[in-house]
Amino acid sequence: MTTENAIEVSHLVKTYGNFTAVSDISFDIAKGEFMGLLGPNGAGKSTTLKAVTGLLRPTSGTITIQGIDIKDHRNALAHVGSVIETPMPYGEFTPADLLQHVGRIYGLDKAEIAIRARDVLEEMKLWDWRYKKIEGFSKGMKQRLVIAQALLPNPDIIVLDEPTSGLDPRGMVEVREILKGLKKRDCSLLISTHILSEVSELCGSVTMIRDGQAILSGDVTELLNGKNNGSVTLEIKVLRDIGQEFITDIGGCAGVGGCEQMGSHILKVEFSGTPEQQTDLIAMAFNSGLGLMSVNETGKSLESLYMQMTADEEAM
Amino acid sequence: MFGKKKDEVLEEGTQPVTEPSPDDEYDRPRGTWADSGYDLSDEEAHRNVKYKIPNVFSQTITMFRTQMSLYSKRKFIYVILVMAILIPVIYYMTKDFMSLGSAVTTPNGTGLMGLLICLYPFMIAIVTGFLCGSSVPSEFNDRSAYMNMALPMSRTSFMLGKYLAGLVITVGIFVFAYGMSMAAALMKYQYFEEQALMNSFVLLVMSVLVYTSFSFFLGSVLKRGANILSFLLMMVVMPAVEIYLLLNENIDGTTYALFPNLMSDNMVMALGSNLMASPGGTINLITSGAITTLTADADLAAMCGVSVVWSVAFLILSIVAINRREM
Repeated sequence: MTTENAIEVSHLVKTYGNFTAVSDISFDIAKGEFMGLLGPNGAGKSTTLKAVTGLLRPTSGTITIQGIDIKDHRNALAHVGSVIETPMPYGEFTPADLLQHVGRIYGLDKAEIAIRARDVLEEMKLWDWRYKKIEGFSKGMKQRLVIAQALLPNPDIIVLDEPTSGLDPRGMVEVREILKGLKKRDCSLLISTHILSEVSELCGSVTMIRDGQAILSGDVTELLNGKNNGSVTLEIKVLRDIGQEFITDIGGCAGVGGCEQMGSHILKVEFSGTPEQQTDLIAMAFNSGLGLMSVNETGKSLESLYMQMTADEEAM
Repeated sequence: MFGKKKDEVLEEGTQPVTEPSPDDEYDRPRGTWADSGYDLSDEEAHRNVKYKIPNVFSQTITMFRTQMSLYSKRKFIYVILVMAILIPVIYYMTKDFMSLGSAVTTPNGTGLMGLLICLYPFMIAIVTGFLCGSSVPSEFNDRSAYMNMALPMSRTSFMLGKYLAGLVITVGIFVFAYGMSMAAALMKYQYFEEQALMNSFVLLVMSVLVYTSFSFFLGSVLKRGANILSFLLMMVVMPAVEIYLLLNENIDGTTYALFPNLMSDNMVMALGSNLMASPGGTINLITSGAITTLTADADLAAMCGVSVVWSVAFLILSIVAINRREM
């Protein structure tokens, strides 16, 4: 155990009578790391996050936050902001009242609360609603408000349980952008979500949970490459019509396993070579005279990995 | 700058020069740090100031203030206060028609006071049940507990803050109503028996303390229904058992007077009235005053001692329950 990690979960077990909600889950989140918890409903994601934020006591195992055991609730969560199970803030309060309450608990003084409240309310597009009663807010507005309270103390660590649920598509994108912005501040993030694109967009590492057990854990890029045997699909788009000569040239490049023409301007290439070979391939496409417009990596998605992993488990 | 302690940042700049004005707390233009009380030119420096988690006492006070603020937004409390104000008004309008009869045993303002507060036992059970019994369950049902308990605050602070606010608000309501009853009694009589009035007032506070603690305890162990159950247990089930024991001579009058749930009955009877909207009053009506000597048989100190022990015990049980509660 080192105190370098923001969060360390070691052999976490949580049982309710005969039912085991979480069985021997371990993972570490380094300072500045964004980790996603993935899994189907009832997999144990929320239970894990509740244990991390002290909302429930582990049956066994240890959880430390910045080196402090979660049993020391006050000190362990001193620099943690969290949104668990979509809490509903006091309806009689206004966002200003609520943020004052939260700020005082963290020990911020009035001036700091005022400044940070303005920051987070503006970020969450709630500034104009700061004196309106929360009970009149839509579900999405309440969700944005609880994210705002989590961000209020400028936390070192943020724990979010499905933070974009209830938000409209625009709201989801905005929240994701805010969370991406936390990377610049060396903030650590533990996020559970059903939205796989959210994890692949935000997180550097992922832990997949199923039936209370971690079935896969590690760096997203490494996991994806490992599960695809290092193979990716490159989608090459050009301005002019693709001819047989172009397909032959690309097919002859090192690392290329096969080509498939999609319409007259797009060529899909199965590629498993080195980064240098990939650079050579792109250079060839650029020099082909067809007018290279774009090269995208496709077929390397978290979704396919997730489906593959859950299928593997079912097969077992 | 991120990661620096507040004091370190302050040392780099200068000490706070002005206190922020509460009026423009949220309307301050972004980035005007001079108004924030800090003489810092670097906006980001201030934004990244670190903080220190307050001690348990400070967090308890914060929770108390928050809960008081929530109570202040409840219409129910204002309805109760208006009802209290109506006590002298109604009495003034009806005093020419009111006959005190045998319900009042003292021929002065004290006896009339006893009559005017005859509904208090019932009201104390109702008001504490609804204000205090629902305080903790509503946190869980409305899911605000998921926010509060994931904050760096001990659950003891959370519970104590809510409890103190509940106690202050219910004591405040009934002391106000008690004052209104005194005002009404002074319309007819010029004086009170001071000792009886003092005993009654102390028992008022004790009965609110007893009911508040019990309501909070039920609220901390039950997900719903604590308010109704508190009322039923304290006003129906427990008195029924106690009265049964008294009438069958299993207990004497002194012991009977020490049951904490009957402090509100004692409060009324201390003033010389045996008319009460409570089980004690009901049994008095049935038995022609079988328990009228209630307060004479036990001294006030013993009653207060029992009430305080009961209240502290249930407060501790509430704190234990909330600390063990899983979400």
